[in-house]
Amino acid sequence: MKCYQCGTCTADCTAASLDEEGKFNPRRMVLEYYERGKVSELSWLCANCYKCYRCPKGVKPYEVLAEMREEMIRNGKVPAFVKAFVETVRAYGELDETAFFLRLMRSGRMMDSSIVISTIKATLRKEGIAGIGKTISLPKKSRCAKEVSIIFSVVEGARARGESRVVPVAQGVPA
Amino acid sequence: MRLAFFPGCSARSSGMAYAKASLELLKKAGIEVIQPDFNCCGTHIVEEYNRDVWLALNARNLSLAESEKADIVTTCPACYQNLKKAKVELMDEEKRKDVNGVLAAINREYRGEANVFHILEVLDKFRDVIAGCADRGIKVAAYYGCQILRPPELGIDDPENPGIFESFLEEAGFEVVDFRARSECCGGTLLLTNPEGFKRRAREIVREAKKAGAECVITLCPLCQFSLEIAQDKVPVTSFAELVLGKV
Repeated sequence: MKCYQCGTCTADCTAASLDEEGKFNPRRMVLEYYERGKVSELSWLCANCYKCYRCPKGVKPYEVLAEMREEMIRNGKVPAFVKAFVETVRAYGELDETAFFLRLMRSGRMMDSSIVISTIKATLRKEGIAGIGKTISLPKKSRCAKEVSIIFSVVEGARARGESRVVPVAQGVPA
Repeated sequence: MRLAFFPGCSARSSGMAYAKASLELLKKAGIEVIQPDFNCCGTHIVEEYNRDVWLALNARNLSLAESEKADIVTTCPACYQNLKKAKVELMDEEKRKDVNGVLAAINREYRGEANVFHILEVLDKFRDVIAGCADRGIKVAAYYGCQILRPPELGIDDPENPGIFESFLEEAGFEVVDFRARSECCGGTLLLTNPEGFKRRAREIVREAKKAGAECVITLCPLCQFSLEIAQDKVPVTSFAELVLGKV
């Protein structure tokens, strides 16, 4: 293990600075992951701010935490917001913000106290004009949606069949 | 100069004003702008969900630009970072072969010819467009946020002591204050996972700007813009493109 437990990452960490209980501690998370393979669910609270790039040993804790999240996803532990995000991109070709938030709300797994919920509810009540002075459009698929869904199905299909790479086969979509 | 404008997903809703103002500024700079049928960059969320899907999504975007013989310009630092990261990964022959296996299904090919820029990098080369446009004496805080600077191998300036944004705004005529939170995280990515923490963080950033004497916070990221705007209403927050557009 390269990490020598100096704690620079934790001192710089955005998520740690917002955690008064001191549970979010990348120095400890990296140690436990390398020594015992422990995957921490707290890694979902990482802000992806890359402040921990300052690591003097080049460990890149942000990548270690990303590995943990990947491992959880591979094992079927996919948080509601990740599911909503991926499914929105798959269906719309882009992250249609309104479609994404609607999906999240309908999954019923978002905290009601969430500032997002209140923002979006206010938005929808006002018939498309957000209370924060922001325009929110109705959900609309991008032109690229079809090609994006093909990319998803080609890659996921190959993975499901246990193939390490996709064999090139044109499916007749006009370029 | 020919550039493909990558709007990012926010450009159709929360980041609409920033995207529109940016397009106008590019035109004023005399740049030929095209708008290909780009898809979502995936962000780290799709990357962690399935790396091969993420890489193929970005390779598709890059291939769209290169088939138009254009480089990509985007307003969103997350899109900028994802496109650039994919481009670096695709220098690897094997990965390029694999991704082209996927792209063959949609009759596209990645060759690696298009470059990726953030809008500030581009407009910085056309400073005459904005030079002296501002009323002297307006004190602003130049807010970088995260992904435009970090990780350093992908960022547009020195992550410890950046200067591109300040000097751009000074050229426009603003008085840029010393703002120590300029490259701290706005908390925007915590909107869904830690809403209380998000609010606290976004308000801290604005408080720091005010303490530094700023009358206004200037952003270059649609998510920072969204965050600082919905978390508080005491200090005005605007993207640099909207700020200068009416003056040039």
